[in-house]
Amino acid sequence: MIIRIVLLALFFAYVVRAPMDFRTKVLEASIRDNPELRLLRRQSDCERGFLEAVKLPVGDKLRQQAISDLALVRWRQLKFQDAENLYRLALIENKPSKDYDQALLSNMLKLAAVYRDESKFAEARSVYLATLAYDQKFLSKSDTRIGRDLSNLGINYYIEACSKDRVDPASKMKDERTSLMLKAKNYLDQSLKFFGDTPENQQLASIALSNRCLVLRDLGEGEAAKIDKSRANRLDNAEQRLCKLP
Amino acid sequence: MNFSDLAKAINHFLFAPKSPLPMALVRICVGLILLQDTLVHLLPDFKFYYGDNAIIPIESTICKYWFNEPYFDIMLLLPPGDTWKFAFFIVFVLAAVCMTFGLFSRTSMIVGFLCLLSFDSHLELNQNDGDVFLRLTAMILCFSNAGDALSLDNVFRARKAKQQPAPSGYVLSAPWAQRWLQLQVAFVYWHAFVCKIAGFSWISGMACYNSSRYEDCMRFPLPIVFDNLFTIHCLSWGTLVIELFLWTLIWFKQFRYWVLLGGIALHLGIEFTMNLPMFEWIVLSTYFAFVEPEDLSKFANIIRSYFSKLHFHLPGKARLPGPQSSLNTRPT
Repeated sequence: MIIRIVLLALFFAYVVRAPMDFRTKVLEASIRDNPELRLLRRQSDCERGFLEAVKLPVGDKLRQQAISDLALVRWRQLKFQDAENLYRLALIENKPSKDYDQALLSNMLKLAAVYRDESKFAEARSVYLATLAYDQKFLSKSDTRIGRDLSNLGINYYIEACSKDRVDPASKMKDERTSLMLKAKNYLDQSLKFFGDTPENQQLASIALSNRCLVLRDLGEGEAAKIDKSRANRLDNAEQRLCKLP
Repeated sequence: MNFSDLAKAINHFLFAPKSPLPMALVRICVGLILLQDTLVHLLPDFKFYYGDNAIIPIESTICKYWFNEPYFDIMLLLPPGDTWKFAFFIVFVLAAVCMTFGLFSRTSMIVGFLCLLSFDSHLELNQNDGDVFLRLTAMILCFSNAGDALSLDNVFRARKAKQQPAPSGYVLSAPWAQRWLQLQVAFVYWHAFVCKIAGFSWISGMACYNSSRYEDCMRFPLPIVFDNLFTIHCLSWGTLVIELFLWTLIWFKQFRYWVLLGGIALHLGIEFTMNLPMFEWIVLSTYFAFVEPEDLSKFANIIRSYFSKLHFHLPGKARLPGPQSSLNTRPT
């Protein structure tokens, strides 16, 4: 009797275990094809990594990376407050370096973008200004990364201006909106000077042109906006970019 | 009552040898329900449910329902192709037939249960609570003495034993699997009762009104009964009372059959009004586990005497399981 039960249990275990490879492959494929599942999986991986990494000493590279990874997942899940806290933690824990620190700058840019998504434009602006100062300190004066920072500042002003318009369409607010738009235009003008004709800069130039086109359109400078749009389109077509200006 | 008495009582409840007749009746009913399930519900749309191009491919079932959980599905081990799956289905049907007639009872019950488990796992969406309860009952039957009565196995065993000291009646054995089934049924009613009283609609007596408005589940309409507030209250509260008794008073012999009658009325009423495939029949068939074997034999004698009055003789002779059968015990 016992032997029969053991044999049955073994058979049961075999039937459950044998197709596991097939099942794993199917699950992997489904995760690959499904962004939500992929994010869910990334979340569990990052959470596990974070719990392991917090045991490491402050300033450790792996710890820094784990915090940034989890922050990115939280950001993608639209949990902005969590993402903000994690990026701030990553920046606080960052060890000061004499050399250019790409990881630090990446976290700063992402924190600024999270602030922007939370409509905390003043905070986003201060972080973008800090990135600009950092890049200007370490990089050559004509480096395109400085242009990127200026473009970011410009678009931050533009989104802030649009939010003012949405909150209160009264005339007094419109003045504030116009002044923000003009600041946006100013920064975008400056950023475009950094992007030359080399192919690797064309994408950055196209983005900055597209952003300036929107600013000019909302400022009522339709003709100038059209010119920027056509230039941006030309660059997009040359680069075969899928994301086009609306 | 001290601990030793309690242990003895539990030991007697679970292991004192009993006739396999009630579980044999459960086995036959479950076998018939499995045949209905396979031949009536699954066979006409077999490819639609389980074919290579099924409406829900197995890959979707794995991603949406199984994940990494240990599901049992023999069909995943079969080579690709509808033919293999259909052959497996034939094995399932044969197991159900053997189970019903009591041929290779233990093996057929195990094979039937494993096939049922595989088919249910393979297409999670194609089942209701009746399938879940059927699966549980089929599993319990695998451990029971259900093949020791009303089975071809028993007939062959009796023929073989002719040369040996004559064993008469059924082989008695420990009824722990029967007790397991009884407890399972009581647990089902306990759960149903507790869930119902936790809500508002059953306590207010309006639940039967609501349930009679699920038009896609209705079979035969009962306009007067379900359109009258008094009858709706009676049916709703009556259901609660019957379900309460089915896990409390059912354990007392003097009330048991009245409670079972209430349960039968409840389930036949649902079967008449609502179309819930297999559910009522599988629940009703487990009621046999609560019937005393002596009473089953008495009932069989009454039927036989009735037919003998009509000059129509049924095979077999009237037999009461008594001391003569209790000699033939075996451990399980």
